[in-house]
Amino acid sequence: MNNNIEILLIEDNPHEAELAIRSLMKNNIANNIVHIDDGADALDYIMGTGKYADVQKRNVNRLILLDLNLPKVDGLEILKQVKSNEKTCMTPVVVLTSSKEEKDMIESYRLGVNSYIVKPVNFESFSEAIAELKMYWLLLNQWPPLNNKY
Amino acid sequence: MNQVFEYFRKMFSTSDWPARWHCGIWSEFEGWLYIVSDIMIWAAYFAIPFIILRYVVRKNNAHYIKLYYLFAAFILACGITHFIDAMMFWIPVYRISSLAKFVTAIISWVTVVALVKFLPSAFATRTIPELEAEIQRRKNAEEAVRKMNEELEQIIEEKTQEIRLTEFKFKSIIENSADAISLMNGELEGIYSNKSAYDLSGRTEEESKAVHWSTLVHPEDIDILKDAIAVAIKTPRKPQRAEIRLNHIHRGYINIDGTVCNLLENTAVHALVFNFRDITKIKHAEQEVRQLNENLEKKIAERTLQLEAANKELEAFSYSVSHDLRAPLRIINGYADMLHSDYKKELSDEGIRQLDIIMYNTRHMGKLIDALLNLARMGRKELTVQNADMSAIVLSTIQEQISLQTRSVTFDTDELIAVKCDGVLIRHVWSNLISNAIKYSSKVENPRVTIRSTENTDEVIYSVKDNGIGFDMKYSNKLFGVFQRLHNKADFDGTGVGLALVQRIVTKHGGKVWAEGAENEGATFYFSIPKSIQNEQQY
Repeated sequence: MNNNIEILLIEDNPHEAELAIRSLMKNNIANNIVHIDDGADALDYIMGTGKYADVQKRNVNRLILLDLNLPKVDGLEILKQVKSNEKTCMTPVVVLTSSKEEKDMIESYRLGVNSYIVKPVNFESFSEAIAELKMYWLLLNQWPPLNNKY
Repeated sequence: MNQVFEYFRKMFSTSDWPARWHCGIWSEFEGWLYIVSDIMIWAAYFAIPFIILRYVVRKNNAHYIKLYYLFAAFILACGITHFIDAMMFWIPVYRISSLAKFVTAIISWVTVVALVKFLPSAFATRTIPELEAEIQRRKNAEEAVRKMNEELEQIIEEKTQEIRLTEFKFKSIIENSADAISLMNGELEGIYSNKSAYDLSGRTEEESKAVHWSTLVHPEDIDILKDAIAVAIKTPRKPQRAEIRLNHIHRGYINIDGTVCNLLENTAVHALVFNFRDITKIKHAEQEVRQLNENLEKKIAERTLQLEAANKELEAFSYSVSHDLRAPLRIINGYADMLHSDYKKELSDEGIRQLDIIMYNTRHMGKLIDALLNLARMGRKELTVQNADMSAIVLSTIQEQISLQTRSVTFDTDELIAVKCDGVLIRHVWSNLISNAIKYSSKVENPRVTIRSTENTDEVIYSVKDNGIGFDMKYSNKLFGVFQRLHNKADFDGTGVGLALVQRIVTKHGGKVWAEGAENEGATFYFSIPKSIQNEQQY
């Protein structure tokens, strides 16, 4: 398993976040999991701006698990900025949301989302989904070399 | 010359010749025959001129009068020579005799010349039968002329009567016309107005004459009328339309509409003809209609806005349901699961049962929310109408349903009539109806689902029949309502949204859904799809 991959969970609901982290942990993940509950903070963290000015220096691959309904800056806006910024456009973003709305899905794909997952209500199914997500992104997927971003 | 002179000097002398009795040997008889004959000729020749003169005087035939005189003179002269001839038996006046004969000769030749001259006209002079025929002809012609004159007079009389009638007719028509008709001369001075024309402004003839017509026209409309008159004058015989306001003595300004036509060149009319009528009522009605339309449009616009707002609200609502209601459910479910797995040992069996109930109900509510969202989404979806192979759709739906079943179900299907519809949505209909049929016949021994189609001129009707528990027809109105269920959850699991979704999809196609059934005798669900889906149906 690629332990260099940092998982950034952007989720405003602490209980949802706890369930997600529990599901991730339950599947023996040793990767660094970062949880940010605010859209604006999340953008700062991803871009290495504001109070996270030093974060970008750490040379890691990152997988963003993004909720759409966020305070201040919503998920679609974060997705748009990540995918339109040269430094971050190669970062895979997985939308993890309760929304089954077609327009959210279409807009996400239009902005370049790598995966769109509707969270099942049933925790068991949710856990299974998280397990498969991890399996795919951390084991199967080949990541681009870190020093050759452009 | 001497002889001529001598002749006239000895005119009455008898000395140069013996009397005729003594010249030669005359017997008494010979002498007297001569004498008597001459005297008789003279007498007759003397009488004839008098008869002629008498005739001339009587007939007064001026044309031939000279000829008659000549004739009389000639006969008289002839008579005189005979008389002298007789006289010369006793008095030998040869000179007088020769003079008389000479005069007679002159008159005779004058008469000859006159007769030659007269001859052509004498030839032209008709005979009496000819004249009589001519007279008859003339009489006939005169009679014909007289008759013709009579007829002509009669015709003239009739025509005059007719003209009088026609004039009366047109006058009556104009005078009694509901339209105001006024005539003006080229100087725009009034010549004639009918009663309606005076009624139009509510003024009597005298009152109308006291004001100039142009002062009765609304100041803003006077140019409209003047323009119409100007155009009319330029284009004779072409009526020019004008709609203006006219001052009515009691009602104020009224709306009138009509034409002005230039018939100045028409010798019979020789006027500008104004033909107007009161359209105030029509105008008001028009205005009312316009106002109603405007109001209606305003209302429609308002309603559309409201509807759009309502739609947006609904969208926001379903978004909210989708996102905000599902999240807490998952959390409840998640934490119950966590409790279950983390504290299983510390919970009693009853505690675990209660936890299971919590989790079961959260899952169920999750299904309800999904079904509701599905229903809302179907409502918003636009129809994509294509030819749909119903048999294929039903067959694949049945296979799909069979794969979810543990019990065996007998399906009886015919070849189904194809129809134009949105195949994807209709598949939901079949899926719901077939799964219901299976579900509600799950408790009978040999579950059987029968699928049929029939058609009439306008629509195709499909049916799904089962031999399950059926339903009481008195609750049939509740079948298609959202969250309406006729059976308890413990017996038959379900969301109560399936048939509502069926109804929504079918209604969207312009069709109908209905059901027949009886308790414990199975149920048949029908839906119809119109053969021509014109537009998307609103509901």
